[in-house]
Amino acid sequence: MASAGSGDEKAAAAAMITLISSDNEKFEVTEATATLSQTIRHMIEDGCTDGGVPLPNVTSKILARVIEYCKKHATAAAGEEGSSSSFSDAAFLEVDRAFLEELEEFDDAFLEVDRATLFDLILAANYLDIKGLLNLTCQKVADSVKGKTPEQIREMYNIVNDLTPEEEAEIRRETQWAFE
Amino acid sequence: MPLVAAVRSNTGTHMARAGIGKTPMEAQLAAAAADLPEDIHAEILARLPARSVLRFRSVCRAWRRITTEPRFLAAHARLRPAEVVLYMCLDSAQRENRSPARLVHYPHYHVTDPPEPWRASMPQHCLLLASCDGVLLFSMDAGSYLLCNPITRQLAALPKITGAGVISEYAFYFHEPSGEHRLLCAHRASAAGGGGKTTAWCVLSTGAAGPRRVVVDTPAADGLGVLGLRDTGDQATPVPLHGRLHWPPRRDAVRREVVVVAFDAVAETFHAMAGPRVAAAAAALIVKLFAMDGLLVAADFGEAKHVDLWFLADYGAADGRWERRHRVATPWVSSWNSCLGTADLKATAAAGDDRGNVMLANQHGFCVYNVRTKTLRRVSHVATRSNDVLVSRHVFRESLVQHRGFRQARSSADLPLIHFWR
Repeated sequence: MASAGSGDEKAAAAAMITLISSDNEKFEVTEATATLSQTIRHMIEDGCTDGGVPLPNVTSKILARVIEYCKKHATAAAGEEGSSSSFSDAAFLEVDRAFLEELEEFDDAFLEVDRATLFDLILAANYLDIKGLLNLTCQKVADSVKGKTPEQIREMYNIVNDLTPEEEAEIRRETQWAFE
Repeated sequence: MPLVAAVRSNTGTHMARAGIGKTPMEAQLAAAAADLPEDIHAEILARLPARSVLRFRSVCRAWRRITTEPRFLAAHARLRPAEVVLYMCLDSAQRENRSPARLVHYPHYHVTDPPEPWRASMPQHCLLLASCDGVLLFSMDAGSYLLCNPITRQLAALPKITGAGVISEYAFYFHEPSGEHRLLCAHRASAAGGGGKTTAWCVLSTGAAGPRRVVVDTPAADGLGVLGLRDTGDQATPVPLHGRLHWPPRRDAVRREVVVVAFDAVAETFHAMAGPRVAAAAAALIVKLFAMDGLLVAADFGEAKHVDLWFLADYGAADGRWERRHRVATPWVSSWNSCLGTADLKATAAAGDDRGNVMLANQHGFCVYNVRTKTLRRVSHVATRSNDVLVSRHVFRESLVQHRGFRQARSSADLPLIHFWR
């Protein structure tokens, strides 16, 4: 766990970063939470976070949710780092099972949002380069569409079919078994 | 629900623009979809099963383009979970009400005089030898092989070894530098002078006209004890990692140590590496290898009560350090009679996905262990004694990747009988 780290690590964990949403709301977060975003990690490394990090692509509503996710997962990341290095043959890797189960429940509950919010979360995860969140949200969309027909997909996502009937027939011929 | 009029947009992904002739709610949803850049579409599509990806090629031009790009196909294949190949015994009686001869039998397919309709649909003497990501290797008749990607429905052949003698297959792998699928075999024949036998090692490649001789520097490559793909009992499927193929650990009779034999697929040389210090006293080890998160992992099935997972921490170091990181209590001990119906499958182990799931199976059961959460769950499977479905040691991952040297099957009659359970 993070608390078991050295003095330097404690100091780093305590450092605060200010994130500024598109609608100019300020969010104070720890560096450990903020650096789950590769984009922010690079900004911190380049030393350009004084006076806050403006995020013109993310609204306060979405940023609040993203921070909620990062806070939860930053704790998990700290736990994993702490245990992997101290492993030995005699001591089997110990993980906090209850915490990981709680994390899974958190993720499930986190995804209980409408489609527009889910898309906004995907965009924010992509812009901020948060791999875990991008994977979680994209998988959620994938799971919700995997059994659908092309017609249903077009209707759900308002996609225009710009293939000619001939092209569509050709694709169907090539991939016939996927329609069976 | 009123039908939403399709509006051609100027965005690259041909998403309809929001807010034209829609209720505010519809406009909001459409806005969100229209705002997703194309690489996000690719991220989502890469997380779909192959079947869905193929079906969605006919959604629009953008999706057809995205889902046929080689980079997308590779990313998609990497995200596919591992599946265990099952066998089904087919009685001709079930289908034809003719002679009750069993057409297919695991582990050796014996095609015993199939009735006429079957000649066309089922290749004769079709034995599944190996699985390399999305490609299955079948041995047809002596010296002839069929490579099949059941997802793309593509086929390829390997050059045929001619001449008298016995052919043993050792490793089926993808050779990255050439983009070829290759099979490492040994051709054993009686020496010309009548004294003893000679062994010629050769590599069969999808792109080659004929077999290529490999000079194996270890004259006693046989003595290294690598197991052939057909060897029953301790069937050995070599595991590719860092350009090398690794056979499951075995006890070296001379050095009295556990060793892992590896074949460098580029240099085409054999190496012996230190193996995990497994405790089993038995001469024949029941240890399976797999790769996970870039590490070589050995699953020791030697004890009935548990499976130990050993990780090779510093691959390539002079003194390889194997660490026993997990001891998985096997759930099948209490139900010893819930046999999967094949005594030939001793054990199989594989990384299931990129989330820490490991599949472990032997003839008594099948389970999934998660190395991150250290949790174990039993997997219900379709294999029972009564339905003649058997669990094989082969692991399959869907792949839509297009490989050179493959041709499209004209009809399903060209393909081996493959059924996908969903």
